[in-house]
Amino acid sequence: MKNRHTAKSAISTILIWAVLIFFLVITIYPVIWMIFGSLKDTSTFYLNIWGFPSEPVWKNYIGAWQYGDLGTKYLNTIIVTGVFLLILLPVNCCAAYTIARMNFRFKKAIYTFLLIGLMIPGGVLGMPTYSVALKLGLVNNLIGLSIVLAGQAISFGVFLLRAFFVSLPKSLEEAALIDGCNRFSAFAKIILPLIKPAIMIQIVFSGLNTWNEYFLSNLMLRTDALKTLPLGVIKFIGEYSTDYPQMFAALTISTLPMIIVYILAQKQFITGLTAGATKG
Amino acid sequence: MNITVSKKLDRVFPYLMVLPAIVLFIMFVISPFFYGFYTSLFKWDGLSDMKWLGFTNYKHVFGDPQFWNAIKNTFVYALVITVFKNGIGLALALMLISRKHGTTFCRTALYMPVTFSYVVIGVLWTWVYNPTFGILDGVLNLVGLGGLSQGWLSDPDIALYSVAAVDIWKWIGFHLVLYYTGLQAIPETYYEAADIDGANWFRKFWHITIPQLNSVIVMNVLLAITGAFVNNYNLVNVMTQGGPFGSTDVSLTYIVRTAFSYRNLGQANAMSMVLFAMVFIIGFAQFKVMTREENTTD
Amino acid sequence: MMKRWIAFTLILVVAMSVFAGGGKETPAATEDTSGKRILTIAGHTRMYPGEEEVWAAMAEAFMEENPDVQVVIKWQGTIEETAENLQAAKLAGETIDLYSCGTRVIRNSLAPAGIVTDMTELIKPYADRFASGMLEGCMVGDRVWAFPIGSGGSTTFYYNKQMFEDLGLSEPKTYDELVAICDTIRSELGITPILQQGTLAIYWPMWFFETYEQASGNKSVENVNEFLSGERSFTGPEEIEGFNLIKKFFDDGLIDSDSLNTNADGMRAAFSQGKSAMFFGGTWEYTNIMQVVGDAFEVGIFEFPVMVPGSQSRHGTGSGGGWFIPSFCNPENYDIIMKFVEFMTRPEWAGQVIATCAPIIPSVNGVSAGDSEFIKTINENHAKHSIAYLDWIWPAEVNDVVARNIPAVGTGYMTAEQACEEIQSTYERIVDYGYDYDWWNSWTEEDWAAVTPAYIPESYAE
Repeated sequence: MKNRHTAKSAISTILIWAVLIFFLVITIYPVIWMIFGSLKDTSTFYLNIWGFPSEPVWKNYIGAWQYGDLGTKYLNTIIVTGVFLLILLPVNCCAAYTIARMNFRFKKAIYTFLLIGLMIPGGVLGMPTYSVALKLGLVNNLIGLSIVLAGQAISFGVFLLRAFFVSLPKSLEEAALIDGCNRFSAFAKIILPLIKPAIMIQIVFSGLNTWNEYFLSNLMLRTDALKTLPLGVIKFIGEYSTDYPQMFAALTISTLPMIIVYILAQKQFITGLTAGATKG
Repeated sequence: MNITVSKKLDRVFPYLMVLPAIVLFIMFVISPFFYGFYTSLFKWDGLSDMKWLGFTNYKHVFGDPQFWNAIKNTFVYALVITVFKNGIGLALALMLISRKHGTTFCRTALYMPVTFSYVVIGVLWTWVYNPTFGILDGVLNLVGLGGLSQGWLSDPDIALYSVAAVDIWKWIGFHLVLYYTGLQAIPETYYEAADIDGANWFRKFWHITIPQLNSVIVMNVLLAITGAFVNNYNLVNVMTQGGPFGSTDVSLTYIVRTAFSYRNLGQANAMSMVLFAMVFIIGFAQFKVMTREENTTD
Repeated sequence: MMKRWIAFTLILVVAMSVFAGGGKETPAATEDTSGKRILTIAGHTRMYPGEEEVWAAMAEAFMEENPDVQVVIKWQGTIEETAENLQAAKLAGETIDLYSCGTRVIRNSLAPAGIVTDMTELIKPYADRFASGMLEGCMVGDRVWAFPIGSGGSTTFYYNKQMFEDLGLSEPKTYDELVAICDTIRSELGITPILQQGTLAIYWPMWFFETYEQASGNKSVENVNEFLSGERSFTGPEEIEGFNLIKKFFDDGLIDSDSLNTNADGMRAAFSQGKSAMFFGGTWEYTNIMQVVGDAFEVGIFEFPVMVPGSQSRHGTGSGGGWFIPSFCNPENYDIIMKFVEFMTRPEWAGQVIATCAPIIPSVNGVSAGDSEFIKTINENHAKHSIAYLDWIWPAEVNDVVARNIPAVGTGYMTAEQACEEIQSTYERIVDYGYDYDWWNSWTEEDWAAVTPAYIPESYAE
């Protein structure tokens, strides 16, 4: 009986790992492939497609950095993404919390209204958005771009955070309110720390979208000094040919910080909710 | 005096909390949307003066076979990616949540495709599918399944699914993280109680995990569906540009082409409005059908 | 936690004030602080290494010759986004005096939209600076809308010389010779001889330009003009034959559906690895092909073979890069605009720009393309058999249907008749919506006034 049980769990463990390893291969190999690609010269890039570069061409990185003028673009991208998050997080946390955990008139209507943002086709409405930004004097301005992008990230953020706020036990604030906290400090001190994993997801996901945003940035940032990383990468695309090794180098340089941020944020995913749940 | 003030404050407090979100949302999503609707009533190339058409653009959109072909493809695409992104994402989350070691590594690795630029994805996957030197046919041959080899992107009956597979690959890590975070929030005590009752794995999954996870599942499904309808441009564009013969043309590839290649912004925005109406209906139907949380919060 | 929130709010307030201060709209500058006149030149992001530097150096040199002028350069977006970027600039009230983008967009979208200045009179003193036929490529309705700075291109078959030599094959002139060559390659090497960049829609119509030109008895351009004015149906025998000739390539096993699975990079990779023997492409691809192939083998070219006995094989030709004066330029600037045009069309400056794109047929006289075997062959053969690109004449909607239907007919997914009917019905649909082929005939005086320069400055040519 006992033997059968362990044998069964051993088989399921093996199966689970087989599945996981399959997915790990198809997700990790592309990262390695991109880095390999950035270290090849043009002809090996096409001849030795899947393999390791026999002689790594490190100067692709120097070339990409200089040709794409990635230094300024890095700084600009950090400003846009940083300000974007500074605006988005407090606004979204307040709205999502209120919608999830308080009762007031028009609550449902407001929530439904905000959800509409998920259903509006992107891309084509870029031009109207640009016109609005122009009227508000936000064009050709890094912070202006952050504000516009924050406005467009509201729906997703409220939707995401609300789903996690809802799942917390109701008793949490009641206890805090009895302890003499007011509504806002109950929210800020008790609830918010518990929702940290969801906030982290918002940071890595919406932050990543802003970091990579091309379409509106291209319309709104109209001087070289203000351009962001995604606008720099198009310099490597020729009309009929693209310098892939250098472009891959530029993309590796611009993606790496996002991967690092994600790895750092990982810790926050685990703590928080579990701790809170046992407490509650 | 003080008490009435604080009572009043209590009543406006929720509105104050949602106000900034609503203001930003109206400014940068709703007002451009209305402006888009307004332009859908004109003949406009974006550069010369607008000419009033009324609802003529909509008439043309409804009579455009290419638009309906794109919408049909979008529905198939949406169904496939919604099912698989959520199925695989949830399955992987369940596999990881019970592991003790290596989960951080797994979640990090599986999230990598989300960070990928579409340019890289385009080169990578069109080459994976390539019939002359692609890695997919190579692997199939290696494991003795060479007979399964297909014209992955050249067969009009298969290409759409090949593109959908890439979409799924890109986003499972994202859904996995959402599910994983949701699973963590389910109190361990529920399962302990079920263990005492002698419940098997499936009963626990069905009676504890699914109901507890409801708000997260609703969110994941809605994100996948709406994404499939209104955010499908970049990937299809780098993979197939809508070919072969329009078999992978989806809503946004056709709308973007109409706007920027045909310079017909009025008609493109009319298409956007029609698409929005469809997504709105589907999205809220799904939301209504799946949401089970009211009894837990109120 | 509270402290953190206060910090958040503070930063937010500071940030908002910064943007409020920086966001004030500044009226379009026509003079800089030192009283110099400002000349703004713009365009999509340059696509050839070193080109941006040449323009910067040219602007410097121009300012030295004309100390009262300040040249401002703005490169923005990709070539596909030309129209959006112009729209954005126009909405923002920016002044642009000269703009550089693809000639096809100028002809098909920008000029009909009325935002391109009619250059016919302005360019006259400098017309002899352009290589023969080049300025004609920028003409629509007998008016000149732009001028070309770049290289003319044509279309050609590329082949792996080493492979041909090993198998004892020589360059084909006719289709039958090509079939024989392909039979040998297939039986000896077991590969499909031609692998095309089939996922890129724009390359398929170039096949049709060739077959239609032959099927129509070398009258394709005239026919298309008649078709677009509504005087000719696209469902005639010549159009159907144009599609069926391409189908022959598929039926005879010269090319197969693998091409539909292959993009430009995939095609180059397969070609450089010897997994395909030939492809049909643009002369502008030569530099890149050579880069990919490296020293592996020599690359040869031959003209599209003759398929219809008695007809001449002729190929689309034109210069891709054009410059125009937006109608929202600074109207006081025509003198310095034309001074700059005179400057940039000098062989020493135009030559430097053109050199960055590895030219085949330079658009400006006095600029040399070099004397490689490749360029000699092109100039002795292809360049002598040239016609206008049909996609510079017909609208994008029609081009897309042509592009989609060619491989569909080739692989038997639809018949040539069905393909032609769909093109015809697409044309009828856009006419119904208001497509106007000869828009220049229906323009009002007001329309013309908006694109006619206020004055014609003296000639600056020596």
